[in-house]
Amino acid sequence: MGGFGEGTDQEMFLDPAIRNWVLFPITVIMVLVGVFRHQLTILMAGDPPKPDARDVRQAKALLRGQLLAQNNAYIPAAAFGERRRYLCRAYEEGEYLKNKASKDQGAANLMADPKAMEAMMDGMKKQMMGIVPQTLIMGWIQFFFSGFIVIKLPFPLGLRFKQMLQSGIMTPNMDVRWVSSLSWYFLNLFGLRGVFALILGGDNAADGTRDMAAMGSMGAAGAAQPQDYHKLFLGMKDSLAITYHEWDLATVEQRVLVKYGKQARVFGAGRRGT
Amino acid sequence: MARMADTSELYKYFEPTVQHNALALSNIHTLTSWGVGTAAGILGLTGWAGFAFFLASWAVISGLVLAVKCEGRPSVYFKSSLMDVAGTPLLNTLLSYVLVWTLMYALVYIYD
Repeated sequence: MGGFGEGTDQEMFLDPAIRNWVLFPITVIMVLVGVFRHQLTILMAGDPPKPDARDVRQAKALLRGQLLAQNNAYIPAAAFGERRRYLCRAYEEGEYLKNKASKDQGAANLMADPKAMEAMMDGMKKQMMGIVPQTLIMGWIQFFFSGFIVIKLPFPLGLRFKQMLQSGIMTPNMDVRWVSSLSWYFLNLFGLRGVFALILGGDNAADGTRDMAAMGSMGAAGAAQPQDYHKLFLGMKDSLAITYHEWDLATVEQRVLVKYGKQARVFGAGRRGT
Repeated sequence: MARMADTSELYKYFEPTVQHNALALSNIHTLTSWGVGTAAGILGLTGWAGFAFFLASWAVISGLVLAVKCEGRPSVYFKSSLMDVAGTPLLNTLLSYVLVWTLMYALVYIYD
């Protein structure tokens, strides 16, 4: 800073016209653009592609194993054993795989599957839709509102930020706390996230900060990786095989007696371990 | 349901409900950060005083959420109980607090 401003507060007041015509419009427009983008994303997304019956069966087969492991306590040992035997065999032979023939080839090539290709295009489209309006607003703010001070930050920042925060203002002696419109834009960009969650719900598409991250990794991972269901099946088979089964009703008399105070908890660990 | 508790931590939580709780918490924090930010701006706090004010309010609000909304048992509502209530939303709330704080400070003290 050097000069006269060192250490002392620079007394200065801003024209209320700046508040009315710059400060408020930027905030209002950023909120509106966020809402607009959210609606646009909903509109563009359209109906999700109809899943193939074999895809659904594949996914549900995996889910079934998970449910069995999860709720093992609620069926008797014989029933559990039978289901486990059957499912493990089906998993191992790939009975529910989408295309059984290619079960040893690993994940299918991404480009080979037209559906995966479509999903990837969809992801790219969404990314573009995020980046374009963000860039437009930033350019618009820089074009219209550069060259004057908009606001004073209530906290000090390092001198390094001067270049960025006071872009378009040629006053070397001014305190870094006085910032131009682009800084107000960034404050809004990060601060409005909670507002969007409030007015649009949790999984809204209005958030601008995600696009900042997306810009960095552009095209690196457009869509979710295709999953190798054979491997998933084998993993589920293993976890099923090691599931320790204990029927919930096996110790029910004990628990009822303990619950109604007819019997003290003589079995140490209580409900389990007897 | 003592059984569920000790058999599988994994299946204890129903994901949509957990997300709903997180959203409710985030809304609480957004709204309170506006109030706290407005207060800080009108009081004319600057520099570290403003951040200290935020942290104090954060402690109070998190305490209230834990005691009143979660009835003292945050693990019923959140997966990693204390961290989810008092840790995860911190950064977002801070950013939204800084926005309101800056705005109110400017409206009261900077503009003519």
